[in-house]
Amino acid sequence: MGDSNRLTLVASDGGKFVVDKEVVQMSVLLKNMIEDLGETDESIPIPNVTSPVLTKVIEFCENHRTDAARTDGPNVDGDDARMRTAVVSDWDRQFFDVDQDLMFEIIVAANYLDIKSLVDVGCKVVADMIKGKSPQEIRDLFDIVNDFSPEEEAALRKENEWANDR
Amino acid sequence: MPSDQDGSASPGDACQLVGPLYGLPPLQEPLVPPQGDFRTGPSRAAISDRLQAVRNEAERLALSALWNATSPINRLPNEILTDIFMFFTKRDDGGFLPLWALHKPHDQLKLAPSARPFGWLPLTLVCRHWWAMARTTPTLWRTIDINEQRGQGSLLRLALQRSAGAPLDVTFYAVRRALAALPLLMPHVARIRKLVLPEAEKTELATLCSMLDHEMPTLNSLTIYGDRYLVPPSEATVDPTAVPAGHLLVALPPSRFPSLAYLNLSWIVLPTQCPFPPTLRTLTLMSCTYERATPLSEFLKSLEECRALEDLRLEGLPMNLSFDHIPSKAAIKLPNLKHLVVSEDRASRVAHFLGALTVPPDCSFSFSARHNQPDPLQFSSLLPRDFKSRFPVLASVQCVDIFITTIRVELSLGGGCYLKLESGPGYENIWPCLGGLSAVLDSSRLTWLSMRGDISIAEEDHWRSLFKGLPNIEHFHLGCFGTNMQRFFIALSPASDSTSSATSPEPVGKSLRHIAISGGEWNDSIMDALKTFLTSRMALAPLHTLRLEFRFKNEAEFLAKKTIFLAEVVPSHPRGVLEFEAPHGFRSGRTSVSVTLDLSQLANQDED
Repeated sequence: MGDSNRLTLVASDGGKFVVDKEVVQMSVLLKNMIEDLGETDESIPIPNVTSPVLTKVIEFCENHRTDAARTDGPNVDGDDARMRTAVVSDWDRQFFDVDQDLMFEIIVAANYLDIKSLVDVGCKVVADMIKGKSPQEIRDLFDIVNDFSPEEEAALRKENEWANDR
Repeated sequence: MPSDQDGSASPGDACQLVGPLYGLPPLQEPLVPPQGDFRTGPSRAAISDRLQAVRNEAERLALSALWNATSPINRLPNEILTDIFMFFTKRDDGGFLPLWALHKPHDQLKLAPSARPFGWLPLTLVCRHWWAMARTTPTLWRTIDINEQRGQGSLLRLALQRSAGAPLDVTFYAVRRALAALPLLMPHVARIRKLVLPEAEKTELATLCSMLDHEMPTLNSLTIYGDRYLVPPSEATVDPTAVPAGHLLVALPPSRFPSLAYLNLSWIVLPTQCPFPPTLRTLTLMSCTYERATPLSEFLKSLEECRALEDLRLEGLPMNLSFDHIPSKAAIKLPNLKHLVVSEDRASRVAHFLGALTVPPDCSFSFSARHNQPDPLQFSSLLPRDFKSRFPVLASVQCVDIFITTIRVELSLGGGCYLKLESGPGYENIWPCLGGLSAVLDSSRLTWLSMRGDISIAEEDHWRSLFKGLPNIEHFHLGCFGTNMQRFFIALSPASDSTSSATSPEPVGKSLRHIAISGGEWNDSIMDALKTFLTSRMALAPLHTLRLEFRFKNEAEFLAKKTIFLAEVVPSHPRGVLEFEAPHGFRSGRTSVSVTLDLSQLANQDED
């Protein structure tokens, strides 16, 4: 019989990770699975997440295990409150100081595992990367190209002018 | 060309970018975006090679779109990209878009973070995927602010169309634009979730409030500002029963607003019957009146019907509230209240109102009044007689922070609890009210006292009175401006007590162990007073630390005073350790010097 406070996660590539239940429960998906399974020694497969990504996700959860749970009520300011409370610490910035592929994979994995705080921090880090840049600079940053025709681009610029008109 | 609901042209749909390849010609040899791993390898390289080779514009665009579709950021789920847009729009400090960002020519526009709705709109210029995502995500379009900018009508049409059926958050900042936007908005009132109406004169506001004549099942938050200049507050103070003509009566039948939880009304006339929907969780009233003079009991009854009320802010009780028939006992309970704010011209009105309420013991509060005679200038006048049982936090305060100016004093009691007094006509000095603190707080528990503010008009009697009422203060921190700091030292020197007209020979502040004072102007009177104070303390009770920070005109003055200080003041505590900090600060233009007397060695020896 194994340690009842720990369980094993299996990544899509077969990598196994033994983790504290308390840490795992930052994921709403896994928390629900654990509640459904009850006491068990069975491993939990995470089919959509590779070992390198799962390593990072667990690292984040370990670091934030003592954070207070987010309690966004269903009020009118719910979205605003979430945006305001998403605090990115120096540790978080270091955590996301990885190549873009891995960064986006972490965010997608967090979304899949329903780890709201990791999704929020990831989105904020990406948003901060964009701030202060022109559309072309953003394209360069993410290795994408201008795929508008000149006519389409002119129409979009006009739409933007309404929003910025003074 | 598609059209808006109002029949006008839809400017945003001049270019339709829809479908997986956005209406562009299909690829001759379609390249399917790889699934799964983001590390797309050869497929992405193949697209890149073809992109380099093509000359045909249509194929180039199609390939470009496909290239972009395989980019890691564009593989994020749409809801994640939406969140990134929203985080981009939010500024970290929650402030407004800087002016430089507003006036940049569009071609040079750097995408500065903007707290405005649609601040993310420039991001749609990055690529088709971002444009398509924004175009088809209703939640990005549901926050509508109408201000004085041009182009608001076009933007409103876009937002109303693209928000689809999503609940709308509508804020009007400008009356003229609001009136112009009303016909466009009217067909959508049923899905308005948040509505803020601008400050307007009665007829204009009445036109805008015509929205409230309709069923608004999703309305969750409503803010209405009336015309604040119609009746000056001073007139209302002179005749509290006056009903101000010209303010708009706003009726909110609960059946029409079943979801209303947040209500903020300023300068509005309330109906006597059922002024508030019972679904409210937050109610803020500022300078409102009833349609006719109404007894306090009616007001209390309408509040009690709001059983879910958590936050009640009364920036002025309804002006024509009648206090003739004050309930003798606690008349109503607000069982879920978490925060209560009552601000009034007359302290006695606050006390009467509070006397008729029962709130949970953990409810934080802020009570304030502008003191007018005949109310006594005491904090206790803000509170009902049995306040200690109603607000038990007052009996458990161990640390209080006081901010004081000539006419205003605020007590911060911790836990989000505040008491504030402002002196009105008939009172020229607010300091005497500090002498009555012991009537409000449990002085035996209070050991920390922190003060900030102007000490210029504080007399020795004021200091004595303050510390006499709070005999167990051990830590006293004072961050002050103004002169006459010496009065504090004189007041707390037992020798001066015996020679003064004070009836009690008992010295005050006997429990003081740690004193930190900063910000006052240094003068010779302070030197003398400090010397007397320290000498007297030697015979009275040991101080552990004394930290002083004063301003000097220049380094020369500081050095001269330091010499005197070392020669005359320090010997009064011969066994203390003296430190002068940062005299080099003068070189960087600072004129503030910190002097620390660490008296702990002395204290330890005395205690031994």
